[in-house]
Amino acid sequence: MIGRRFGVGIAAIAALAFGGFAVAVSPSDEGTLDPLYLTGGVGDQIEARVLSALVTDVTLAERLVLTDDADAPDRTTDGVWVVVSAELTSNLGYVGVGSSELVIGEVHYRVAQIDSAALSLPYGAGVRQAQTLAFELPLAALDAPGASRASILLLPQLDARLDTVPLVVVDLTTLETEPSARFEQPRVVERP
Amino acid sequence: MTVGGVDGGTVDAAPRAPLHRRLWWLWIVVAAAAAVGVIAALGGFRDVPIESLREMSVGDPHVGTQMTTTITGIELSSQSPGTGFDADEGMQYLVITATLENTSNTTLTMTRDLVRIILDGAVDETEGPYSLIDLQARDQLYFAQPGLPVDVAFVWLVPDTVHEGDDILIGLFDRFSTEDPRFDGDVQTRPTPTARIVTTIGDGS
Repeated sequence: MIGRRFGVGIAAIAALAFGGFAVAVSPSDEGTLDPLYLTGGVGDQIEARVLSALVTDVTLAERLVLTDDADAPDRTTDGVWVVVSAELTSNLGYVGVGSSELVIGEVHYRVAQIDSAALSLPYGAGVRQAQTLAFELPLAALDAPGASRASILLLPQLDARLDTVPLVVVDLTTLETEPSARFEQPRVVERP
Repeated sequence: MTVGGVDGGTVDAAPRAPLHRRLWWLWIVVAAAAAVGVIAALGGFRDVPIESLREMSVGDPHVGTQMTTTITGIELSSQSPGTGFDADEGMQYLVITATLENTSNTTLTMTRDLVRIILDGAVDETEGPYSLIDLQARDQLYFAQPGLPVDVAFVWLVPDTVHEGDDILIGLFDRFSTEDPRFDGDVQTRPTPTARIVTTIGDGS
């Protein structure tokens, strides 16, 4: 009788331990719903569901020169501007890229809202646009351990869960900081 | 013959307690409702008495869980900082300048909720700023980047009957992480007042 109760007790403890293990190793919502990042480098064409992207250049600059308005003051910073030139194509319709991020290690920097029109692809599916995306960072970010593998996430919407998203890896530690960079307005790129 | 308490069509009813004893639970409900009513009448569960907030001065950094806010000056102006727009006739801008530093790992967008003011007869604590200006960009502040201090101006439109030297109370707010079983992970609470500056218009300017 005692042996049987002992066996039941052991079985109960084993079941609890197994349950705890199952909970510990099961993926979180974050793990199961995260976007599927399609990774490439500068010069790589990346085809995601909503957005296709080709990052053509990445520059560091102390000052942004806004080219659309001669009266607009240059955008200075106490940190540094990371200026990303890209060719983006919507695969669905109107798409905004104002939620895009530059990620260094665990730190997420959102794209600067310099001009909301410059952060959208208004012409519908299949029209390739040259865009400038600027990220304002503290200078210390360039010395962070993750700066050699910084990630540019081209997020076509605020909630990109369960969707494919272009991710461009760039080494910021090898770039020289220029005195200024031009913030170009979007323009349609002719197909070759 | 009696079967199941039924005898020839009559029922043997057990003696019952008086009604006021059977409804004892109703007294508990009434007492709880009365307690909630009294608390609500006195300001509710969520209100924080202003006097209980930590008192600070202009120039003191208010270190929050995600943002450090330092109020640097309070002034009146006929022109809005950043945009340079003139105030309407009979109105002026009350400008509170501050430095914000986002100490978290992600961009923070809830920057307008960091500061509220009480200006007797002109602005109460429920009225958010008319605008929040990034003084370097001379544009609206859309968010604060991690680790990058930004000089800003919280702006309210007030009548021109408000003068330099008038008393003003500035409330500084914070948000806290809390576990919410509806979501996988922590969520942020509503902005909560955690400190106050009692001063006069013109301080720090």
